[in-house]
Amino acid sequence: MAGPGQTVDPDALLPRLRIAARPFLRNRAFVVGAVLFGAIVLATLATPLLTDRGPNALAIRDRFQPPSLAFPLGTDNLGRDMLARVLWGARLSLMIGLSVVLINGVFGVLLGAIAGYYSRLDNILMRVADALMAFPAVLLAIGIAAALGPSAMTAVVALSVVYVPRTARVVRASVIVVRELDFVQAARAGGATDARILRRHILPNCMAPLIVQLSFVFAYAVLSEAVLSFLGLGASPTVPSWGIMISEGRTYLREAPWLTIVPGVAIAITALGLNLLGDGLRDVLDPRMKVEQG
Amino acid sequence: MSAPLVEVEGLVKHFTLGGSNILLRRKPVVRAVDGVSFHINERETLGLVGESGCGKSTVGRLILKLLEANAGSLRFAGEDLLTLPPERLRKLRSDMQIIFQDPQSSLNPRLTVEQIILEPLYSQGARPSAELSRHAAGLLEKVGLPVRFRNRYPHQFSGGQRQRIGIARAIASNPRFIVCDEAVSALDVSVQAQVVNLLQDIGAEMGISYLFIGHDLAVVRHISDRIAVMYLGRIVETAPTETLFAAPLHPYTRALMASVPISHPGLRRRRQRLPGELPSPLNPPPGCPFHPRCGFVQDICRSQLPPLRLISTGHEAACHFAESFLETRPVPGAATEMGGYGDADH
Amino acid sequence: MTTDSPLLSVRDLTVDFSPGSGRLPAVDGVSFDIAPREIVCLVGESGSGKSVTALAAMGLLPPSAAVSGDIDFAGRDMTQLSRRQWQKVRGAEIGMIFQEPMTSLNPVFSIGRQLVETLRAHERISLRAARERVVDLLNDVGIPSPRQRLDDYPHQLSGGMRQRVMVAIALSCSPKLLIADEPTTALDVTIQGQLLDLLGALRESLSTAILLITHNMGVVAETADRVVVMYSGRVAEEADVFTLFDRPSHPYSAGLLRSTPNLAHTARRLTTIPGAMPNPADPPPGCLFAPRCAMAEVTCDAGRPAMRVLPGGQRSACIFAGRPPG
Repeated sequence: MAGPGQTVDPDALLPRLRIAARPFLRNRAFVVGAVLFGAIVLATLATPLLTDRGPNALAIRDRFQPPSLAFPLGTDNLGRDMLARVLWGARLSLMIGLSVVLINGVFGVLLGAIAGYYSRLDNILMRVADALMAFPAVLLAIGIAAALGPSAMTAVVALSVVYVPRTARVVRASVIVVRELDFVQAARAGGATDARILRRHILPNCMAPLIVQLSFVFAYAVLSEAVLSFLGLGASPTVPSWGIMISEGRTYLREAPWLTIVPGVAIAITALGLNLLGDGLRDVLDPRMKVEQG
Repeated sequence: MSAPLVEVEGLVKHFTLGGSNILLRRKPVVRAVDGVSFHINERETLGLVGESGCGKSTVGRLILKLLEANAGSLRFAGEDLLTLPPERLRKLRSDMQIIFQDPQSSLNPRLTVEQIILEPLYSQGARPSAELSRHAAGLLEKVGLPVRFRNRYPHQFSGGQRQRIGIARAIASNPRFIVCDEAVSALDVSVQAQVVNLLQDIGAEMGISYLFIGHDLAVVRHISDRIAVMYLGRIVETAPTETLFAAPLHPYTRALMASVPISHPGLRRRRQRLPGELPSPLNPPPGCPFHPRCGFVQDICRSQLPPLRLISTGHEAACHFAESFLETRPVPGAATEMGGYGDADH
Repeated sequence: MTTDSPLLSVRDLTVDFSPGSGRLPAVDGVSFDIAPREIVCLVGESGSGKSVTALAAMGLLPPSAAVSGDIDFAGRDMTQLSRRQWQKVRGAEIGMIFQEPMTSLNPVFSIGRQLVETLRAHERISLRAARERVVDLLNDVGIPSPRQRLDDYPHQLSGGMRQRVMVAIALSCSPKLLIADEPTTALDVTIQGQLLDLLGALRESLSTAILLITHNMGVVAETADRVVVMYSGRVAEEADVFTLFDRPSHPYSAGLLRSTPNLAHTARRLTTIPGAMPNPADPPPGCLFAPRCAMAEVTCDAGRPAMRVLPGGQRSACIFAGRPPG
């Protein structure tokens, strides 16, 4: 009798994928998070289909309209359609979030891998990371953004500087654990170079905590970008970002609360969705990182 | 008599415990391997036995240069491993491989079986090809696994099967020497027997020398031509297998044999158990490391470290009184006494 | 068979972690008794169900497990006990020791404190009196200078010492039954012997019965009065230890005995049992061992063999049991 397998053909790919997907679909946090974030992403991609009004189309006559059939999310102080603004703003926020995630993915992994694998460099790198992490994230972002001048690029750079040390720490912790596992020693015994060992053996086995971390980074980036924009340090006002919308809506909080509520809710849904997604991913992936009973 | 394949002389490995206490002048040192010497010939299996903390696994890793020795000399196929340029060492690694104890952590969970098996070849610069795939298929057959397993992942296999995959990986580059680091200790008894037989067959067929590290004397006996016994970082006795079992000279070896669980309830008797515990490797006793537990301890044992010396042909022991044991009866429970029990031997 | 009423009586115990899936249950129809002061070894390899059986006997199965069958301890039906009731029984009447002493002992409390806590959880006893009892206990399990060791933490002790502390905790309330799950597996062979001697001595002095779970036939040979051999969730054979080693009545037991390396075998090759344990998701139609059995015939595939009782009390789940070999 062959060893333990599934009742399904163990070599077939599709059924294996379906079985692999099951624990994810059973995790409530993951599903809810995926739905929320997925909705935001879909809305962002389908923006041209959902509205034909531009985010900056002025219509002074229609200003301060509360949500109605004609304007599903109302209009702002300049008569601009809130729905259009929030949808186009989503693009910016998500783009910035994605950029920060990508930069974290590259530099966080690079630094974390080096620190985790080479103990002699570990100390220096981690002290630098500690120094950066000693600053409250938003304050550091504000400082950098203030120095570089407001723009979307600035936001990306500032947020990346803030979060890369944290991502690097997560990767480093994983690398330190995996590097001691027997199959890594086996690779060394086989004559693999350090680069090969990191690339083929260590890093692929550090993916789970990294993915979870990146989902959180995405959420924090969206939130922090909103803060930066709110303070006028983020993207320029030509493209509305959710933070700017909140900032501009603040003055009219009493008469037209929807000006702040709408972008606020959008941020909340995005951040909540990503956080739940991250939680769900961690629940599903982490226990499986442990020893699988053979 | 050709030169030995592996020659180890005075190998030393100390681990300093990471004490962050800056007030302590000296950091505590674990003398994991404290002067170990032995040799392994071509096509020979040397068993290395000892209990936990004796340093046997560390020795295995030192030989393969997975750990850096603090002192001593290490020669493989005549080449001095400690002074070898890194690139030459990397190439030499195809000749010396290792099989690990834990089937769960010895295979990369993200690679397929074929990728795992061929990894030592890829590391040396080979590129994936149809020929290599055939080679992998041949290796799977050799270790008794169906070829159709080649695209599966480790988590789909049992412990015994994973060990077989580990063996296939170890022989992929046609090595001359393999360190088996407790390779069967984590397996069930019936699977253990299968894997031990497999190792013997492969070793004979491919002309591989083994350093078989283990703690189970009975298992080690089956596969080894010669056996070395370790205690607290030192080798206390080395002898050809049957000589060791017929006439163990070191008190620790004798105690080890007496502690092996009996094979039949009829052999139960009030046995003289080895008293005490393994001393901490941080603070080994002065003189002979075994003296606090030794039933034959004399004054000299407490102050002078006995060297590993030749007592009779091929038989070395590190005891001041080794010669006096040449004449004693075999240890109860060892081979010759059991021989009389022959008929009930299933 | 003993004439005293058994201390522990397990009847048709079935534990299924995935009911309704068609997979083999982890434990399937297992029955055995333990008499007072008896040492019974539950032997099997991984996947045999021996640990799950022990957990069931200790009431430590997860709530998701589907359990059926009877477990009677000292005349009481244990299958209906609530968590609270189990907590009273565990420690006081049934003691347990596990394989890994490091994870079984709480690393942040001293061993003295853990022992005292266990005592005071089950008995009304003052702190001072408890500490005195604990010193005696540590002495009984062979820990040198027990009074000084009271304040030691688990990590300051060696594996063998920690296991002795486990035994002390388990026996502190003089339970009638001690369940030991692979107590020697993580220990060195010279320490193993000490621990087995200790268990035997304590059985004598405290009149405790012991259910010892192991995969090591040597441990069985050293300590058992009776042996229950398990394979893939079912009992393959039950016999007193001498009968098992001399005349195993199930091919799996015989195979296990033959493939255990021991110092008596001078042959270089080990005898093996070919094949591997059945896949729980795809079990053989008849006897679970048939695919690996040299004696298997067509009738073996017809259905699971029933337990048959042989003269002398030995029980076997093989249809050929009792017939002369060959």
